[in-house]
Amino acid sequence: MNILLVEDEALIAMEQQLYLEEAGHSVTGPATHAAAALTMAASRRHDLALVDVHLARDTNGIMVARELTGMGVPCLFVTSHPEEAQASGYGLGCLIKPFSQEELTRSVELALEIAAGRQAALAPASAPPRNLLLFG
Amino acid sequence: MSPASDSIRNSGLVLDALDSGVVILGADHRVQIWNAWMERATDVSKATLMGKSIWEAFPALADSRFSDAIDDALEAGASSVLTHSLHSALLPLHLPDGRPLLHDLMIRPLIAPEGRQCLIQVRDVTVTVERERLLRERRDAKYRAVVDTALDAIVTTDTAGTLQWMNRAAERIFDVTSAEAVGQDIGLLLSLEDRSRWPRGSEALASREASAPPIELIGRGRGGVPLNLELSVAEWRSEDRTFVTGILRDVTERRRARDALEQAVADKTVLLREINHRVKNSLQLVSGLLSLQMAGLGDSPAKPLLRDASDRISAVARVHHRLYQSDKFSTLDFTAFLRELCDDLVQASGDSVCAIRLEADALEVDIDQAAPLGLITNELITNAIKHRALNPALIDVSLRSDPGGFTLTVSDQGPGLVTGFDAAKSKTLGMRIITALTRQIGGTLQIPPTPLGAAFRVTVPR
Ligand SMILES: Nc1ncnc2c1ncn2[C@@H]1O[C@H](COP(=O)(O)OP(=O)(O)OP(=O)(O)O)[C@@H](O)[C@H]1O
Ligand SMILES: [Mg+2]
Repeated sequence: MNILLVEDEALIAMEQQLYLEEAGHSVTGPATHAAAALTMAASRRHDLALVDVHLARDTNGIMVARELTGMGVPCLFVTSHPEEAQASGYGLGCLIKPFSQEELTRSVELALEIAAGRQAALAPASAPPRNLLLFG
Repeated sequence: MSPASDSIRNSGLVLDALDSGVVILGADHRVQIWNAWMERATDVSKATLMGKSIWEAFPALADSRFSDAIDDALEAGASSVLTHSLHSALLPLHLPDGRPLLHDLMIRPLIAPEGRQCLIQVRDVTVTVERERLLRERRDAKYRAVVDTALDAIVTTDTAGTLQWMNRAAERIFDVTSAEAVGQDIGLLLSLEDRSRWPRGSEALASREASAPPIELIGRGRGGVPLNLELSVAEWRSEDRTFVTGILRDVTERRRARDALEQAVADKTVLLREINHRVKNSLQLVSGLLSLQMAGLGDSPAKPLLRDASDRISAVARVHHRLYQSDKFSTLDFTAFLRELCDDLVQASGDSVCAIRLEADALEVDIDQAAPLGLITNELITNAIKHRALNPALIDVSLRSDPGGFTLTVSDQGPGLVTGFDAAKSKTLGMRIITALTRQIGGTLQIPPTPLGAAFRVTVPR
């Protein structure tokens, strides 16, 4: 799957990219601020975007999520500020930092399933990670 | 009829047509001319008064400023002007409706063939005076409205400091009535210590500059409660006396809010220092855990990897260590950080293994750049030590700061990099950390050519 990474903390972005690639995804980014995120989003089709709330250059991931949702790209927030993300009304959910490889991989899988409208097919064995907050 | 008698009759007509009073007295104070205007204003007819003493018309004025002026004209030939503003209601004159007629008098000698006479001219100033009074009242009302509705206390004293007047805000703020306070010393309103700070005496006032900043004073509010006041004063003169008017602004609330804010900032400072201290301790603990884990590994290839991980965590811990040692939290003293890092790395690897020459300008870096910069520097210096080959590592670390930004250079005299080395394409963690974090803080990484060893330069614009 094509995943857009929007994260301004370089080391965390490196970590996310590593986990996503190990899970077989193809990663665009990381975009460190809003304008970069929107430019990258327009460059190819993405199945999912992972979006941090606080971005570089005083920009905001919530605004990014709003634009991406408008472009038809589903968003999953990855942040230590879940309240702000949830209050925004955008995004499928929020993975709360810090996260393990397992938690990120699993959260991305779930988000992709929800985005594809297959949440009903979820097997009970695959409970969502503790730090994944699903909206709506 | 002779031309002379014509002219006399004409002048009588003219006098009666005048809009002001005209009286001519002979040397003996007898009335020789009393025009129609005078008849109307006094109700005394020309017929009854002609040839009689003026004092029959104004018996009460026989010994007055008016009679003096007449004597001056007749005896000394001197003129006088008696104005309403200085000599109100000189003559008992009235308007047609009975109201008093306000007037100015001009009294001057006349030299006539029959001897010295006295000419009295009376001018009606009732309308003028009334207009001036209205204007003055309107101006006073405007002034009073400002003073009475002012939130600041406004008080006036004489130069000795005796209260002359105060506005309503002053009564409210100091909880006194104007009647109680007037006549007392200004000290009534001020704290004991600050009583002497009200400007008294002409020297104190003269030495004050008009644009001087407000004086801060403690006043006595309701029930003796201390009030923080800001005093601005001005002196003014009236009829040869000097007064001091002061505007006293009650800044007690403002001061309280400022104190609370300062306290809050102080509390936050303590809190932030505490947080940085704990973060540093926690990171040190994690680093220590990894060291413990290493101890059980013998010659395992995992051992140096854990050492690297432990060192990287220590580098971040050091940033927090510096942050809690300073009272600034938004910036990091990067120069002090560098010195500490170099000392620690030399100590950890041993003097025989490595020597670092540090040349650093003073530099404070933004908190957002502190941890990334700390990690970058740690990677660059540990690389110089790690890849030194057989000889001891001789490392130069230089930090140059100018208004445009700063440059950190780490160079060594070891075996150097392979030709065509590209940091951006490097797959190893160290280089990836360096390039990613350099980009994050908006800097650029260069590898300047050196005849000996390797050199890395990070440039960060401000
Ligand atoms: N100062 C240096 N002198 C010589 N070679 C160096 C120097 N710095 C880096 N290199 C070379 O560049 C490579 C990449 O460095 P990098 O720091 O990324 O990896 P590393 O130090 O080998 O391992 P780690 O990822 O743990 O740091 C090193 O393996 C080394 O060959
Ligand atoms: Mg290295």
